[in-house]
Amino acid sequence: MTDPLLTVRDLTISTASRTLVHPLDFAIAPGERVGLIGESGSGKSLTSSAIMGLLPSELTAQGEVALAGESGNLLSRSEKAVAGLRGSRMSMVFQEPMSALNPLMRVGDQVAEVMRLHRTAAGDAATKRAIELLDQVHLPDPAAAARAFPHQLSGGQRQRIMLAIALANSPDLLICDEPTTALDVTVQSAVLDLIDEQVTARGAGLLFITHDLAVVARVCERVMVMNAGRVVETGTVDEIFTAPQHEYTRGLLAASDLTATDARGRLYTIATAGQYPGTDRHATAAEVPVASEPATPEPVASEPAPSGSVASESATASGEVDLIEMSGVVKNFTRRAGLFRSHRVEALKGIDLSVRAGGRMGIVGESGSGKSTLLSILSGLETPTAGTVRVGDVVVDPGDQSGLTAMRRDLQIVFQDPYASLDPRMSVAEIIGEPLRSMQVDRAERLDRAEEMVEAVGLGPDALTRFPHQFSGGQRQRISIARALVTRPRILVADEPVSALDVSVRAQVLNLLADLVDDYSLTLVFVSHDLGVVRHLCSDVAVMRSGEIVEQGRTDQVYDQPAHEYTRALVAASPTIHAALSA
Amino acid sequence: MTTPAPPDSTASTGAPAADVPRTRSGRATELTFVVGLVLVGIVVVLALVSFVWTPHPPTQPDAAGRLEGMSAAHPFGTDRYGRDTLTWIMLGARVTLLVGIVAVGIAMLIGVPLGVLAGMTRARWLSGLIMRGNDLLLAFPALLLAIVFSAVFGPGTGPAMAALGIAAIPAFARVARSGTLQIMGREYIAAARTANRTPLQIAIQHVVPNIAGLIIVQASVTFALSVLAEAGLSFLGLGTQPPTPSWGRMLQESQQFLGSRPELAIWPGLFIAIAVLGFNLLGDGLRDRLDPTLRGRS
Amino acid sequence: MRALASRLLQFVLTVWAATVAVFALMQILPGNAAQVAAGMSATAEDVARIEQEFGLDRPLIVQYGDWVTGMLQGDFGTSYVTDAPITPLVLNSIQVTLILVVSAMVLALLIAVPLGTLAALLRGRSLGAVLSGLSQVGVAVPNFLAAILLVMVFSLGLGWFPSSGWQAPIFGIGGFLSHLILPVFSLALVQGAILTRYVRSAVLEIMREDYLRTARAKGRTSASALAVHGLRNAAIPVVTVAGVQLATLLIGAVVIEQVFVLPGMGSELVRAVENRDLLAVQAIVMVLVFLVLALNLIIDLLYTLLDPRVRNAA
Repeated sequence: MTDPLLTVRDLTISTASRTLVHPLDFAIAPGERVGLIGESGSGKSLTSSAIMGLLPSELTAQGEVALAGESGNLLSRSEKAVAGLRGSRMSMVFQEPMSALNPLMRVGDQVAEVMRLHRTAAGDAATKRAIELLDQVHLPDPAAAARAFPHQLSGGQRQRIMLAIALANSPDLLICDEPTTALDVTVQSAVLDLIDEQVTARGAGLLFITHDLAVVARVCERVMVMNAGRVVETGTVDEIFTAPQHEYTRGLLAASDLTATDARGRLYTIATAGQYPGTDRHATAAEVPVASEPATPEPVASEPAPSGSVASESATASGEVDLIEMSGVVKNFTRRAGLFRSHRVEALKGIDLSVRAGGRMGIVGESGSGKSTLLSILSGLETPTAGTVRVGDVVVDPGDQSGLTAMRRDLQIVFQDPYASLDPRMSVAEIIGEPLRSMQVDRAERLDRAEEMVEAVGLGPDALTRFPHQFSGGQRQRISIARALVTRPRILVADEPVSALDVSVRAQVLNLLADLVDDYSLTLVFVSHDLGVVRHLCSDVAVMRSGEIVEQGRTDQVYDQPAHEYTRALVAASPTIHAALSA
Repeated sequence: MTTPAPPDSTASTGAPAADVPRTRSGRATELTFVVGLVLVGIVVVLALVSFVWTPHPPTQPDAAGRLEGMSAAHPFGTDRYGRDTLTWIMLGARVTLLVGIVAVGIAMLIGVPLGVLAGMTRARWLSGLIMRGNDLLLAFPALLLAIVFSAVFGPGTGPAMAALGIAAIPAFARVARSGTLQIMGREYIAAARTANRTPLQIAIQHVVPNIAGLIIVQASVTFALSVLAEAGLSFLGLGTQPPTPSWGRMLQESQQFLGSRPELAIWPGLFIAIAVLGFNLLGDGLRDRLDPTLRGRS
Repeated sequence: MRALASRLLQFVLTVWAATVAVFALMQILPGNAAQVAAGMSATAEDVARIEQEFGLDRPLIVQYGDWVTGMLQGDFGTSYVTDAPITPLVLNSIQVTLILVVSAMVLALLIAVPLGTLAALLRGRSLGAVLSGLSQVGVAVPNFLAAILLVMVFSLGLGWFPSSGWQAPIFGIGGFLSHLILPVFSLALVQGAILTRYVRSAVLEIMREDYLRTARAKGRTSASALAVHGLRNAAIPVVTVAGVQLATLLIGAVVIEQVFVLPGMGSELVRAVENRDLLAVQAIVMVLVFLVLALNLIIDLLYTLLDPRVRNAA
């Protein structure tokens, strides 16, 4: 075997008071692609920053980092000496493309800068080479792009520019820290292809940091799994994904696999990962449609009504009357630019959508598709420009307060961001009881019902007197769910409720939602960018793009035989572990 | 401590940041706050004590002891009429605090509701009207408005307080509006609306408690600015009028004795600086103590 | 271009609103202007004569119209108290004030930019703490106190500079400068302290930005990343604050002119207030307010030049 490109020995990263990364050893061979995977707080990003010499000043790194062809330990070099390697022999692409570029400088100059700095090209040659690089990262009209300022480009385009900067001097090692996490699925797919292509073309070594198992399976040959500052397992992609040795790895894998469910139709969590059959199962059972199955609490899978007994009962009883009906909903925003000018943004261009009682409707779409606007209108927070929305017997109209009051008894929302959806200055009891206050429920009863709900979402009664900041993201999402269900609504609307959560927590919250939907016989409207989550939870799905529903129908049908080309593209772009392993 | 913020998420900043320990800057914040509190405390104690005791009667013309230096009887010396400087400093603290409290009170009571309204209303013309009015008022800096008021209503503590208060309204309105806009973007406001809370209930239960930190910081800063402006106005002879003691006028009267008795200027100057420094430090300390995630643009 | 036009229109509207506000303020006066001008012991006939002479018996809207049209033609009217035209007084004093304020601002920036940047870079070290402590104290010192202290040391003590007065540059540049130096320093030291704090926090803010980490990942050291990518970004908030502070400085100069007996707008304003010369007060206040608004306009335009995000959004 050739000498390794990068060798890390006994790397420890700590603050003044505690150790964040425990002694860590690994090596990357020239041209090798290594994935570093872990959840938030696992220390994976810190590790990459330490290698690049970019740790925040309040953190210290000890141990040894060696790069082939450079003498000595990089950690003990002066800042200037390490800086000479950055951007030339090793480069890095960061997570957040929106803030990673200097807003005051044209992007072409920012690409050229890295060549001028290391004297690999100067003057006009650097400018020309920058345009070539922008072409290599597949930006349309690279010459025009070079003259643009960062704010004129989309997130995906900015990430391409970051990649052009990182690759400009053909580094031996490229470090990518969650490079596609902030991007839409289809954009993510294209950027991953690009990283793949360019790394191959240059024979560079790759250290790819992510929380997403499917992404790592797609890009890397070898994987290191990190948990709480330690690497718990290392192996080839096949080894890790088919025969994980460490229980954390197994748990992570089980919780990430949205197509695998236990006997009750629930996702595996870290706790129940022991029963997880493994990704291999699909080599033999890949044809089994999983969508409607897990949601079925009783063995009625062969019946036409897929969403369980409650749904079929109410559907027959009410003669297929839809509980929610949106017809011809249009929403235009006028954005003012200056005193005289304004332009119209068509957020929704005529939406027709109905959800039957007991149905589980998934709405999927990328950013800017209008799915959030749709929810705002459905819940009476925004007035549609045209069209009508009916929930139960109420026609939703933000001007009609009594109608809204009646409607909101029936329909409640769980929000996306666990850190912003709970008022930090209210106790949990007050938060959960808030919807009851408008219903003139007295204080004692509010407390009783909050206590009941807190238990229903799996938190102890001591949670009631505490404040949001004392809870983790997953726990906050449980509180949010408790608040939504305290009025005993018939309809639960969930707006990306698990998108901000770590994989292991995500499985728990999704299982809780599924349980509650069953227990309370809820009708569910579930909005997500994540096709896998919707497939697991929903019986029906509507696919949105640019303010329109391009396709809707039964979940398995839409996923397995997509009729619209956008749906096909979306399904193809969504990373799944199975697809990546079989590729 | 970059966390994998999954797509569509702007959050996931909160939790892991707690890892970073309170190091030097944390202790510096603590120190700032404590020093600010002590300095403000000195001024408050001087003012309060002056109501029950002063070293000498305030207006005792003591011809024998004119322009005396520091002594056991007159620790800060005496002025040209032989009045005890320490006594006058103590009495001056009253006016200083009174002006600050009234000016901040006026500005806060008018500015905060306007700012919250401008931040919450969906009627664009209303928020536009409030903010344009604000811009207009901003064209009249505190001291200028105070001078105009003294021209129109005659010089005095009352017109000065009113002018300083009115001139500080835009600062409060701006801070309240930008805080409100931030809060209105949070999902818990949408949650409150779907919980069928009225706008007034949302303003009182969610918005005001969450912007209170910003407002308190602004109050502290405005207090310091008002103390400075009142001193300047009295220095011009257009603020607090004789015989009420005021630090600004003491400083002005000291000017003719700069060569012989510089301490006549030093003492009132020192106490003005103590009061201003105290409220500024208090504001800085509070800014870091109260909800650090919500920063207003000052 | 559209954005520029709309900003200009906004400026004109605000100036107009300011004329109404200033005019209205002067009408609140208990009693009336003629009575004040005529003095306590004036007879009814005296008051009537003054009213007629200055047109104060006409409807307010006509008086307001006259005042505004006059100003548009560069005529601020004639004082009821001194019977002298107000325009020359404004023109003479505005020069003094502008020289004072602009030099003080330039000096303040020369102090604040290096010290503020240094204080940010040295954060957490003792020298950084000393710098920010000093600026904190400087902010708390009223400018007239700074003036008195400077006079004590450099005029009464060392005798280097005159303690008061003004000499126009045409009578000798040396005398002009020696009269200017203490007033300018009185304003600039305090202003420099204020700006130092803003520069420090702007630089600290910028040092946390992701694009500085990107610049370091390209191969820059922290210092060169800050110099090349950071400072221009930090300049944006500093320019905004400096603009606001320039307005404060303009009003702060009122007090400093009093201390050093300079014939600027401030001295004229205070004299007019003391003489209850309301038309002169009205004129000087209007000029000062106009200057403040014009400064805000210039800052906004500068901001647009500095920041492409604003430029393109327009």
